[in-house]
Amino acid sequence: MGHIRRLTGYAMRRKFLFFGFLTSAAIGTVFNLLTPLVLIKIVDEVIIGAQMNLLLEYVFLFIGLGLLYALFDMFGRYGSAILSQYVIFTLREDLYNSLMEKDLSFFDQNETGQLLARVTTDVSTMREFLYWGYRVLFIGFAQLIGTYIVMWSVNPTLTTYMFIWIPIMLIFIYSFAKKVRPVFFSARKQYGVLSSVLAENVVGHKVVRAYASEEREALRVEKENRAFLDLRVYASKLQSFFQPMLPSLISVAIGALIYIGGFSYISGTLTYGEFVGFISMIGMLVLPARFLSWGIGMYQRASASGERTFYILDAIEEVMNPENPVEVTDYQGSIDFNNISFSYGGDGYILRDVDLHVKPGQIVALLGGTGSGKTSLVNLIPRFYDVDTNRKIDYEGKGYRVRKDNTVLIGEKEYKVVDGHVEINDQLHEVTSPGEILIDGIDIRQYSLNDLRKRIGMVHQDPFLFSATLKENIAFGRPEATFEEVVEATKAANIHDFILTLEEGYDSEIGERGVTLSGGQKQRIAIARALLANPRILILDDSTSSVDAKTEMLIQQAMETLMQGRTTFIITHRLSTVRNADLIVMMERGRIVEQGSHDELIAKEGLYYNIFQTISEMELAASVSSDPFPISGTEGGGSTE
Amino acid sequence: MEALSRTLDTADDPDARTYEYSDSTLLMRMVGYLVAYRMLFAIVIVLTAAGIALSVWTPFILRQAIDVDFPSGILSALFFTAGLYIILQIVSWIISFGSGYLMALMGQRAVYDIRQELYSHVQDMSEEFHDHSSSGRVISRLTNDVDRMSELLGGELINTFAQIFVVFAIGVAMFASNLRLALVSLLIVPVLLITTIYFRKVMREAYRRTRKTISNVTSNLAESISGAKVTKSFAREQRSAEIFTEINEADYQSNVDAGKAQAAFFPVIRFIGGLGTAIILLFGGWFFLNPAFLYISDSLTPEVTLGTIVMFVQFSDSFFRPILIIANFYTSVQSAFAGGERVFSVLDTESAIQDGPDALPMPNVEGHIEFRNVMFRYGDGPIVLDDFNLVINPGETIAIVGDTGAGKTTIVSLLNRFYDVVEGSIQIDGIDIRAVTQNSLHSRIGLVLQDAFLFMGTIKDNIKYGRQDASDEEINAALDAIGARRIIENLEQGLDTEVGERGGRISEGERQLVSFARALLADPKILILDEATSSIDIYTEYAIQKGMRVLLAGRTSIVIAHRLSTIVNADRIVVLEHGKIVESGKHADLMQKKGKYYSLYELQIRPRAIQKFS
Repeated sequence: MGHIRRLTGYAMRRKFLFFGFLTSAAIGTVFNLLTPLVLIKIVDEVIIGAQMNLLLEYVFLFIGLGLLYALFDMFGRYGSAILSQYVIFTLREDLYNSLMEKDLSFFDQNETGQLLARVTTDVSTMREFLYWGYRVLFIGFAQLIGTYIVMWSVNPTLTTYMFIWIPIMLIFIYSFAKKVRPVFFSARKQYGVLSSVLAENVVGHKVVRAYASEEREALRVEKENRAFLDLRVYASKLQSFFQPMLPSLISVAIGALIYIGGFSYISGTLTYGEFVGFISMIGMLVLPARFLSWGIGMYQRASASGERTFYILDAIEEVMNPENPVEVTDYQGSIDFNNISFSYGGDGYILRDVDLHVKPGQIVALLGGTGSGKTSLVNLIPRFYDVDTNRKIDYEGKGYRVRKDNTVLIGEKEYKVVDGHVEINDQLHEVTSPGEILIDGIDIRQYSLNDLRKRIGMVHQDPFLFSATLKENIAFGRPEATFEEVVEATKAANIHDFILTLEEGYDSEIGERGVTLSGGQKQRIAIARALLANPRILILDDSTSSVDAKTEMLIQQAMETLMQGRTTFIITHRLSTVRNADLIVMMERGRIVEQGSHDELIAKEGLYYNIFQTISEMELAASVSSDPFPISGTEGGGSTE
Repeated sequence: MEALSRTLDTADDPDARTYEYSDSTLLMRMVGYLVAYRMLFAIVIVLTAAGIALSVWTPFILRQAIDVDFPSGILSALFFTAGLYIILQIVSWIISFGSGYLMALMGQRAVYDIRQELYSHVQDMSEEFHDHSSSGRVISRLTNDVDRMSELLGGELINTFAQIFVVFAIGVAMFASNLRLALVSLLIVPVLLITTIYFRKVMREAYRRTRKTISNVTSNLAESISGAKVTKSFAREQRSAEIFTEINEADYQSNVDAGKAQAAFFPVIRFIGGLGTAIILLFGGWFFLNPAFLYISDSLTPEVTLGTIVMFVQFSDSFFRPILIIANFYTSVQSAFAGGERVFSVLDTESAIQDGPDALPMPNVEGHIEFRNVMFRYGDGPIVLDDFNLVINPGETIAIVGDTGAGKTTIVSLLNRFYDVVEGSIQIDGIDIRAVTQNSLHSRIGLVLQDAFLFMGTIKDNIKYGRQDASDEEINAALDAIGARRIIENLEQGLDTEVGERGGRISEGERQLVSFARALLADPKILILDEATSSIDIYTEYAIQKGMRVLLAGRTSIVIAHRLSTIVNADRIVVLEHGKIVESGKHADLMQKKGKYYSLYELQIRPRAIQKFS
């Protein structure tokens, strides 16, 4: 299959090692095959022939062959260990680099756990095949054929009788593989089901308890556990049936040999020694039979793993670095979304006809419900995704893509584009060109990814920190930063004092084995990290946070410091932030429904106005203290324009 | 993140032992689960013994053929011997199929039993246990750790013990048939043992090193994948890749080092086995040609025939496998022991809270709640509640407010009897909650948590969770009541939308709404609501607030409140400080008092409300 060939391609990068270990294994096998011949000599010449003087000589020959077999086998194993390890190393490097180059939609579509399994478990399966597979399949064939050759050279008649065991063994191997594998597979699948039911019960134990559903859950667990038991037992049953069958077959062959061999002995065509040699050689057939079935199993597992792993390498990365990027020394920070649309791989639109123009240094507040597209919008700026590049037409309020062959599919019907127009029911619809995003007037696809992203900073509400020291985390975007610069950033981010309270200060490790940070602390570290990187453009996701008032204030302050002098996109529900923004953008289902400053939007009496009103009313309803709320109502807007 | 922490959990050395239990304790305990199936166990033992007897018998038949039938030239005798040999092999195959199957049956049932026992034990554990252990770890006890025992119980254990008898039986057979040859054959055994032990030790060391390096690789990869967005946004790919290469290289090196010992082990052992055969051939040949050598008497030192030599070669072959298995046993069971140790340690942790022996089911209640002189602390920790008294009337909505650590969550945990009070009592309609079964207590109390947990399945399944027999009309009515019907119907498959693992496929706000509908449908007399402070967009937030009002109506409700509207609309606000009620009353009254509530309100509740649109 293709995947194994590809894996072999990796192994072939070190041809010498690859053929070296196979050759070594083959030579070892030859020595192994020669030992029965010595056995025959010992029986016939020394024991039956009573030539005591030859005994020591033959025994040493026997030991010598064993030693050579051991040595060459050892080289073969060691060589394949090095080679398999080398391939795995290279493969992991390739996978890592490939993962780093992927655009974010790849990570959206593939769960972390699954990706991790592909680069760990699946890679191990392939290593197993690399270490054993080639050798075992190769030796299996070599020994199978070799044993018959040696047998033939000793006694062709007897060998002919023994020949019938080959098809029997092959059938055995085949039927075993065919029957057992799917059962094991479904047992493993059931184990997955059982595990997730158990996991649910543990994580959701409070809910189970609160609804007094212990019994029902227990039944559910029991059912899955029982199904797993049944499948496992069935698999074991098959295995217990087939596994001892192979050695038994060989033993039955020896039984037959006793009769046929005895008959030949009596009729004078076989010596004692040859009989003993044959018993030993039949024993040698166990190994190829076992190796071949084992090798085939490994081959199939490795192939399946290969498919999963190579998928990562083969997934096309949609975001590409330009070949001749525009050189930039500094960004001003103006951003224009020129009528862009966006969808995941051509499915339904996530963003549609977004037109938004931001001047350097402006603060843009993005508002909208879940699925309104605000996160997707900001993810387009650092090119985590790219905007749609299809031209499109509008028809009855919906957008349709113009396909590569210059046609449009509407409903079931296909229409042709003629002169930049599509004619539907005698009406002409204009084809609009795909949108683009410009930074400082240049399409972002013309900057090198590195340049672009270095100038854009992002802070999330639940920021990801690495298990490294605090200092390393803060200097993540600028590892060469001095300690003074780090401290400067943490001070501005209101987290310096906290870090000093830690036993190891800036050298404290974060994560499982180190300090656990609260959400608010993580957020401020992320702010410091962004500050140190000093980007021109900022993307802040501050939609949620369950922190106490004091922390909230600290974060708020830190954010304000961070936003100073940078073009900022902020996703937030914080009223004061929204009001202070230069531009408020309300989004719904991938479209901008309103944009403008606070005052403009209030004057418009649209959606924003309504939300604002509701809040104010609530405020008033709750207001019983004598002081009127200083910022309730619509007056006193904080627009800076 | 959940997925990540789980993967990291398993990346932690799964074979690490704490030695909380000795090997023999673990072994005996596991055997206990097997012995529970007495009949099966007995049959397996009988079959195994029969299998051993047959395997020792076989070489004797070969000797018979070589020494007697071949020279005699009687074909019928030869036919009989060969036939017997073949029949024995077939019988032995049937026996090993039978014993293998029954062993697996018994072992897998034992694994099933352990898992069931562990599951119901975990289910019975008090909240204290769940609070103190990460769910990832508990899950891995129930899944991987139990499974680690599967191979051992499913055959490896009995098979390995059987090998001891195989060795013994062959030894006896050898000595009984030929003392002289037996003595020289056994010369090789100590060499085999010492070499095996030596290699095991070297390989274990090497394995330990590779385990460490591979776990570094795994955790770096896990982090790189989870943090891909951050790495990209700081354009740090290259530096990160360099770090990965370093870690990857270390793993390569340690594995190549380990490969040496691994490559040498089996060939060397097999060579020693070959030496054993060589010794038999050497001495066998010697005795054959010099019968007087070391001769004592015919009965003690019978003649060494060709058949005897062949038989001994066969014995020596079947002698060396069991020794290898026994020598390997200790290493191969380490994983099972590690799993068993962790599983038993959970099983041996007693739940702090158990139903009393004469606990009755809780009758239908009005919803009158009383905390009487309650004192509570977590374990040996500081006192959380001291002389706490609170009476809640049927139908009343109580909002509990206070700083973090004031004891708000403790109050609801105690009411649910997730923990037991240290002093005092909690009564519902005059019944001490310790006098009733936990299960019936929970069925009277509804709990809506801040972090709405959903089960895999559809939205409908989840809403019906507390009342399986609910009709679609009732479900829709519940959704209507909380104003969520439109939101749910707007989802692509409406009520039949699959929520995914832990509800991950729908938004947090939708999860919250589903959990409200679920609580409403279960219709408990008492409702506890731990209010979310966060995570929902403004639109959903409004929907939720409406839902909450409906949910609270007509029930005794305790709300750990963060939202302005909940607090203001409560029948009574209870202000907690350091485990004591410092103020209680209606919003307006408390505001006028200008006490603790007033300052809480001014400093936290109101600013948050203004800022957060809530």
